[in-house]
Amino acid sequence: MKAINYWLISCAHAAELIDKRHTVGLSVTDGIRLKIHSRICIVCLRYGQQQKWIDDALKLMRDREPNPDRVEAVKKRILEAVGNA
Amino acid sequence: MADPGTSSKQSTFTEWVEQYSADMYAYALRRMPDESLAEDVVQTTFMAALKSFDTFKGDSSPKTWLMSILKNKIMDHYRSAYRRNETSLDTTETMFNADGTWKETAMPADWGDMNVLDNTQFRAVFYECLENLPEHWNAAVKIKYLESAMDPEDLGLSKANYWKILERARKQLRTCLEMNWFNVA
Repeated sequence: MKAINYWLISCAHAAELIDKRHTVGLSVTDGIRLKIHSRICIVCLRYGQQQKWIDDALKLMRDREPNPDRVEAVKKRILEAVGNA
Repeated sequence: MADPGTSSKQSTFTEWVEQYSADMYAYALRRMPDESLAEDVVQTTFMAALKSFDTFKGDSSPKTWLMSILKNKIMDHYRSAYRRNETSLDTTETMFNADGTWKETAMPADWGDMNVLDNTQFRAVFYECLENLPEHWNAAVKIKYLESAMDPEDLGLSKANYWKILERARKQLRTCLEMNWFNVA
């Protein structure tokens, strides 16, 4: 019984591991615990998928393109400031 | 009468602004919390460069020189953002009951169609949510996801606090997206 308890974790623990997976990473044991939990708990499975999705969305920032109007406005503003300096 | 040295300096500068400000702004935009702060930091960079123009020896290209000033200015911004906010890491409300099960109000809802990362409207909402994060949370997110040269420890943050901030930033992003995009009550 003790051995089973070692592998079974609560939702709170599973969510903590999901967050940790996206920041510091997980040990092999924790990875297995999370996998087992996600097989039996649809809510945590969903939470894990959503957190993974947020991770992907955050990577979008890398190709954020500036609005061309703002670029021109910035140029104008700096040129004025340089002219007044 | 204007000093001829000053006017040639200004014309060189005007040329640099024309040539490099768009790239500098794009760089800053990906690293600063919002558009207006990105604009400010590019302007501050040019003003600082103008002041120390005489120390520019031409060993590197003007763009490299300007970019190095810009990177420093961005770092300065985050350093002071952290200093202003270093005590605000209070406790979050827990999403779980004492027995480790999800609280009904915190249980992740079905978001429906998540295939929206390429949708322009979604991106606008997403950036808005990102910009609305507290400044130092936003900074933590950018340090992690932009693979910038910034290190949380450079900003006086312990690794443990950094991960905690990052976790909370992601949680707040979830809530913002649920309210403004996924329409989860």
